[in-house]
Amino acid sequence: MPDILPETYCAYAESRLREAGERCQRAIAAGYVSNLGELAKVASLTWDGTMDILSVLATLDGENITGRSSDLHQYARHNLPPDNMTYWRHLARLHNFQHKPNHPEPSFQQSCHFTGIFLELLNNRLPPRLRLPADCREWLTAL
Amino acid sequence: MANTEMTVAELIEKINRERRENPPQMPSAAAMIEDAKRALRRQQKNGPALLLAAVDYRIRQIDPDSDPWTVIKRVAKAQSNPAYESAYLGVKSLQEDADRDGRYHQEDWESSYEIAEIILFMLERDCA
Repeated sequence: MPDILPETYCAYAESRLREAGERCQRAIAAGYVSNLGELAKVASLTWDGTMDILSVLATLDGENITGRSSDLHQYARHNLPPDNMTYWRHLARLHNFQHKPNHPEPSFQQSCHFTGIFLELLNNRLPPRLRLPADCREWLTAL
Repeated sequence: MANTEMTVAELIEKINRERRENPPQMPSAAAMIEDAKRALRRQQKNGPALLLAAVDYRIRQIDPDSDPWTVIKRVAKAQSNPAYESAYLGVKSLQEDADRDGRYHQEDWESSYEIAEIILFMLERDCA
């Protein structure tokens, strides 16, 4: 199977994050509690989009990664500064939410907010030609 | 006069001997985090609270008169670094998740434990 190019990962990430943002705004506008299933999908898309960006960074660093989230976590632990890794916990909470969407709304918003900051930091580590446009991810920090 | 009671000299000698053999741990956030880590590894219910207490202990060394969260927000603003708020809430959320779900997962406590260590590192770096 051919390797996935960094450009392809970035296109996946942008598409997923943009879709997540649109679905999140619609779901919250329609009522948080009655749309937890839809927000679980938002969390899933956000997690996958973030894994796409980490995959780009790992690929550019020449890391032989499998794409499994546990491998990408280890890549992040060994390659990102400590301050940046404080955001991982919030991303992981979103990941938990996708399987069990039982967090109260402030908790969900908090996870999204800090995940948005994490995405911005990861995006800044990409070469300029690969960086994602702000509008596909800024909905996270705006929550 | 016969006296079977221990003298001060004997008492001090005994204390010194015991302390040489088992040095007391000075209260420190690092030691508290190690205690919390052991509790978390054993899935003790109080593990998340012990971890947060360790972080709070270190923050109170910076400002004993303010609520730790208030101190963290102040440091985050002074350093223009939201990672402080992210880190504190990341540790605190372990307790919230455990309260809600009735348990905490290994990946989550390991992540919160690492973040607690990062907070100590950041405070040492920025607020020494």
